[in-house]
Amino acid sequence: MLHLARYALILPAVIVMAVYLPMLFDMSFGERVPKTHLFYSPVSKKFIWRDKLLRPAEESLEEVHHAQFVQMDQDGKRYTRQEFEKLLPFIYYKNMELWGLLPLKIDGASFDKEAIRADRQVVELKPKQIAGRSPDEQVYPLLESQPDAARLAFPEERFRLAGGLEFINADFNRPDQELSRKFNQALKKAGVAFPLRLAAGNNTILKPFDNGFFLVDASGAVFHLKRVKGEPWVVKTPIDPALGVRSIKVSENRRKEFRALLLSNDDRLFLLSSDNYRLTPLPLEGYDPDGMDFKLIINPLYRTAVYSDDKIIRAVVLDKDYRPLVSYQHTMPGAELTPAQSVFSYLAPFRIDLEDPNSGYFAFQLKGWGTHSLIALAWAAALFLVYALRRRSGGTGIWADGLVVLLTGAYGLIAVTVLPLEE
Amino acid sequence: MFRSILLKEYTKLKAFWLAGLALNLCVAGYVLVALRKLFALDHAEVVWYRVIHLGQTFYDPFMYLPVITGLFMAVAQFLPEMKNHRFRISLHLPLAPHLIVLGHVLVGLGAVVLILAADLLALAAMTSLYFPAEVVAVTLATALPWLLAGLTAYLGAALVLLEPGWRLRVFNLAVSLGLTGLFLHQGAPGAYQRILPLLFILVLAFTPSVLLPAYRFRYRKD
Amino acid sequence: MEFAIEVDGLRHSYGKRVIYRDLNFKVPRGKVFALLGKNGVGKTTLIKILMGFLRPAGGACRILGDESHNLSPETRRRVGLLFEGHLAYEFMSIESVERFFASFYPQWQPELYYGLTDKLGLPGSHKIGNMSEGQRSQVVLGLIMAQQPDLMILDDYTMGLDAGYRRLFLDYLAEYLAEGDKTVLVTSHIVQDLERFVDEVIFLEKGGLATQMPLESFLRGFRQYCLPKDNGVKTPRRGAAIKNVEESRDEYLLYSFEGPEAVGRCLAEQGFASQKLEIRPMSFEDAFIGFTGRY
Repeated sequence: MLHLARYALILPAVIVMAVYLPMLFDMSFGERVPKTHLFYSPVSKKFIWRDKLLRPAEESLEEVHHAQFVQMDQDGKRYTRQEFEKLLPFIYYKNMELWGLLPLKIDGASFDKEAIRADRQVVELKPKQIAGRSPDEQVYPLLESQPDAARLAFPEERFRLAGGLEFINADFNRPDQELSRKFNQALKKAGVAFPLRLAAGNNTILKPFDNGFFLVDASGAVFHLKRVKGEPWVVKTPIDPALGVRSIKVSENRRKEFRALLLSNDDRLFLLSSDNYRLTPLPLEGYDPDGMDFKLIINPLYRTAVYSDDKIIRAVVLDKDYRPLVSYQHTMPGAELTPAQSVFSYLAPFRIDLEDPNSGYFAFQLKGWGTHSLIALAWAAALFLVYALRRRSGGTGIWADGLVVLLTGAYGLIAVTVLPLEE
Repeated sequence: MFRSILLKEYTKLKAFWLAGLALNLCVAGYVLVALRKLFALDHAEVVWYRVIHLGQTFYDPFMYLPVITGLFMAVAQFLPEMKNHRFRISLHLPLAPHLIVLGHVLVGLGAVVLILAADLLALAAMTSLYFPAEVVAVTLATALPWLLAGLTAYLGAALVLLEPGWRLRVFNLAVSLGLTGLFLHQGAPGAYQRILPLLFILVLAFTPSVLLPAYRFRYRKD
Repeated sequence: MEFAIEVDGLRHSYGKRVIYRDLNFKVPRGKVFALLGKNGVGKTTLIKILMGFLRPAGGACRILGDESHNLSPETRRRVGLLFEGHLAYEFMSIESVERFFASFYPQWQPELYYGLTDKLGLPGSHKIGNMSEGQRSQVVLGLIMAQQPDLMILDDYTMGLDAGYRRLFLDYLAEYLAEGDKTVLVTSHIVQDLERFVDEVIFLEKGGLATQMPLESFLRGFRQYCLPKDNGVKTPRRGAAIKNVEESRDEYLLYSFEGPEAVGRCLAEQGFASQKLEIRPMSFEDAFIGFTGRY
C-alpha cells in the first residue's frame, strides 16, 4: 500500500515536471524562432527569404535592433528590408506605390495597382484545417448564395449529416423535417448514395460570395450543393470516386479560378477548378499534410507553392498552368536547438507537450532528443546509483526506483529522492 | 467500522456539502440567465455561429468552479484535522491506515463528485435547451476536464493538508498545482476530447497518493 | 508478555539537535507510571514516539510488543490515547461520538462513558465543539474508559480540569485499574495529584537520561537539606551525593538520596561547615522540583 501510494505521487510528479520544466526553461532562457518567410522574386528570379537568426549576424546591413533578422537570397546575398520588399513588388505593392514605383515593368510587361490587386491570392492549408485533425463544427449553415441584400446572412437553420442532411432550426432548436426532405430529395435525384461522409464549406459570412458545400457520399463521389433562392442546387462533380477524398478546403475568392483545395487519401493536393470541377494536381514533392503548413501564393506572373515542417521549408514555382518551373529548399534556423534548448536536452531526457501545433486536439506527446536523451538518462542513473549506494537500504524497492530513474531521467530522480523510500 | 468512518465524515461534511452545492447551483443559474440573454439580444442563428464556429464558451464560469469546489471540500474536511493534528485520533483507530484514509477520501471525493455531477447535468440540460446534440456533446467534452481538475484539486489539497512535513508539503503543492493545470489548458472547445480517458486514468492513478501522508504521519522521523 | 512499554537504546534528533542518544526504560504491565521532566528535555518527543506518531531515528520503542510507529490495528485496539488538549471530534455530539467509537471496540462499556458524561448535565445531542475544555475532557476520558484498553497513555490529562473533576477521574481510573493487568502512563503539569495513584516515576533529564524508580522509594529516599549561608562567596556544587542545589535569600537547599553523613562529607570536601545542615520535610511537588531543578 505504501509503495502504491508513493508511486501514485511519483508518476504524476514525473508527468507534471516533464510538461512544465521544459516550458519554464523555454520561458526563462529560450526564444521562439519563427518560421522562415520564403518567396520567389519575380524581379530577380531567385528564391529569397527572411529569417530570424539564433545568433545575431556578425555584420549587419541595418541598425542594431534588426540585427537578428536577415533578408537573403539563394546565392547568399544579403538585402536590406527595403531592397527585399522591392524584390517582391507584388506583395509589397502598397509600398511600391508609396515609393512611386508603380506601374511595375517586369519582363516587358507592365502592372498597375489594379492589375496586381486583381491577380493576387493566397490560399493556405494547415494540418489543423484537415478534416479530423480538429474538433469539427458538425452542424453547418447552408447560406443563401444569391441573397437579396448586399451582404451574406446566416440562415435560421444549420444542417448535420445524419445519413442525408438534417436541418435544425435555431429559433426552436428542432429539426425542420420539411426542409430536410426537400434537400435530401434533390440530393437523391442527383445520384447521392447515402449516407453522406463529409461536408466541407466555409462557415462564415465574412467572404465575398458563397460557394455552398462539397459533400462526399458513401461511394466516394463528390457533390456540390448550394442554396439558391431557398431551393437546393446540386451538381455531381466528375471527380473519380476511386480517388478518395480526405479533406476539402473551400476557397471563396474574387479571382474565382478555383473553388477549393482537395486533399486525397494518398495525401496529394489538388485545386478544384471553377470550370467543370477539374482537378489540377500540385506537384509537391515530399509533402506531408499532417506535419506541414502549405501555402499557395499567386501573383500576376507566378504561383509559388511553399510548404514546411518545423525544420525544412520548400518552395516550387509554377506557371499559370501549374507546371513546375523551379524549386528550392532551405533549412530553417529553428531546425537547430537554441543554446538553451541544447542545454536542457542534456538535463532531461524528454518533454511532454500537451498542445500540438499541427492539431486542434490536445495529446500527450513525448518528445525525446536522440543521443542527448541517452546522456541525460545516463547521468541521472549514475547519480541515482551513488544515492542508492550511500543510503544502502530500501531492499527490492530501490530497484523499482532505479527503473523509474532509468526511464525518466532527472524527472524521476527528483521524484524518488524527494519522496524517499521507507523501509 | 469502515462504515462508521463514512458516517463520521458524512456528519462532518453535510453542511459544507450543502453550501458547496448551493454555490454551484447559483453559478449554474447565472449561466442560464446569461445564456437566455444571449438569445434575447441576438438572432438564434448568430448565437449559434458564435458558439459553434467561433467557439464562444457561454459556460466559462464553470471553468474554475470545480477547482474551487474541490478545494473547498478538502479544506472543510482536512483543515480541522490538522489543527493540533487531530487526525491522530482517526489514525489510532483499530483499522488499517489505508482503509481509514480511503474512508475519508471516499466521502470527500463522493461529495465533490455529486456536486460536479449536478454541474454536468445542469450544463447538459441548459445547453440542450438551446443547441443541437452535437453542441451538447462538445460542451460536455470541454467541461469534463474542468470537472476532473476539481477532483485533482480536492486530492491535491488533501495531500498538501495531510502531509505533516513542510518540505513534502511544498512538493505536494507543486505537483498538485501542475497536475490540476494540465486539465485547464485553453484550447478550442472539445480539444481535450481524445485524451479524456487518459486524463481520467491519470486522476485514478493519482488518487492513492493521498495515503502517503497518512503513512508519513507514523513513519516520519522529523 | 511482561512489559507494556519497552524503550531500548532509543535515539532521536532533530537535524543536529540531539534529543536522546541512548534512552532506556521499561514499563511492566499492571502499573501506573508517571513520565516527568522539565520543559525541553524531550518529553513531547517521547510522547509522540510512544503514541506512534514519530519514528525514532534509532533504537526501539515497543508498545505491547509492537514497534510503536507500526502498531497493528489489533494492538491499537488495546491502547487508549489521550492527546494533549483533549482532542476530540468537535462536530460530533455526546451520543454520536459514543456510537462512533463503540463500533471499533468489542469490549466497549457504554456505562463507563455515560457515567462520566451524565455528570455534565448536558443533553446527548450537545455538540462537543460547544463545550469548555473541562467538559470536553470528561467526554474524552469517558471514551478511553469505555474502550477498556490494556494500556492508556494520557498526555497532560489534568489540563483544564478543576479539582472536583480531577478527583472524579481518579476514582474512575482506580476502578479501571482494580481489574489488574492494566497499565497507565501519564504526564501531568499538576504533580501533587499523581502522588495519589502513581506506582512508579520516570524522570526525564536533559541529554536523554531517564531515572526510573518506584514513587514510594523516591518519596522516602529523596531528601531536602538546608544549609544557612555563611557570607562566603562560595556556593555548594552538585555532584557525588548531592543531586541538586537551589539557593534562596539566606540558605542553600541541597537535595540528595543519601543520609546526612554522606551529604555532610560531601560538603566538607567542598569546604563547607556542615554542622548547621538539617533535614527539611517536603511535598512530592517540592521533591520533583528538587530533583529536576527549578530552571
